[in-house]
Amino acid sequence: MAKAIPKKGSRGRIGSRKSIRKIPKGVIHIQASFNNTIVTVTDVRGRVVSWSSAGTCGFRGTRRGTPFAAQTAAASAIRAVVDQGMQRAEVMIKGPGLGRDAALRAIRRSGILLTFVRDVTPMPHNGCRPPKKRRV
Amino acid sequence: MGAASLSSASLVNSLSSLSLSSSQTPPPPPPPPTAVSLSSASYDSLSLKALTINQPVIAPSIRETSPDIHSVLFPSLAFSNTLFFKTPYNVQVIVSPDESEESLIGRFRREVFRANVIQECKRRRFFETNQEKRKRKIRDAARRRARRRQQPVAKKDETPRKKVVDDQPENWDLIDIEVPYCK
Repeated sequence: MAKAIPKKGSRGRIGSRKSIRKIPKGVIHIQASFNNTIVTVTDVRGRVVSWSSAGTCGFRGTRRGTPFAAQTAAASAIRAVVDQGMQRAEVMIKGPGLGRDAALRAIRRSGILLTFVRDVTPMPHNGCRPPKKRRV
Repeated sequence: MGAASLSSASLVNSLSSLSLSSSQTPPPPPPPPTAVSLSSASYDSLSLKALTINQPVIAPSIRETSPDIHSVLFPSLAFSNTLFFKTPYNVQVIVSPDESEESLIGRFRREVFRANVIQECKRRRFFETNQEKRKRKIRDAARRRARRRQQPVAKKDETPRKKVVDDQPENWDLIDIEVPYCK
């Protein structure tokens, strides 16, 4: 069986090729849990362009779950993407955290045109049994 | 934009006579196989035709009835937004470009509150025994009953109170009037 031989040029260039991608329209996913907020920017198909979270922005521990941390995470994620020329975006918010509104505010202020804001929190139709109650 | 968001936008368009109101709940979809397989370009015209042909009677009633009644009138379509579209969602808010930040956030929060998303999340975080479930249901029922009784009762209280208030104190002084046949 003959193995497919990759072209000489593509092997060397793969790393730099990805960053040149220009996306005029994208989707911003915000996952806001009680302890952290993760902001991921993808294209319409779902391929990730850049991401940032409260933890990567330098907050640790309980401060990651605060709305201010969510704001900085959203701002940092969008800064990386605005340079790539993204104008319009859809926002998908997941999870019951405090970072929901704060991240949305930061996105609004950054100047990106928003088309939809959706809540995509996953709701089981009585599926898996959740963990037992905490006795604190 | 994926076909999902376009389809939801076009559904809103077609069923509410081309007025995009963001606070509207997602309307019932057209017959699913034809809807999903259509390409986005031809979707609008075909969906309009299909809706006008298949459901001429239902369309006006949807506009008149409130979104709360939809789950009773069309029970199978109660979860249409979570099941039928490519990216299922609980709440969707359509943003107009000239909208202030606060109004957008306020609108989003109100929609989320109405969909009970955060409450449900908190409830499902940990397992709830049957005893706790029963207690929660009793509490919710009591709250709902109290809310329904509060509003009509408050209105009844106000009107009789206004009538009881007497502006003029009673006047027992003798009035000088000429009464005929009296001194």
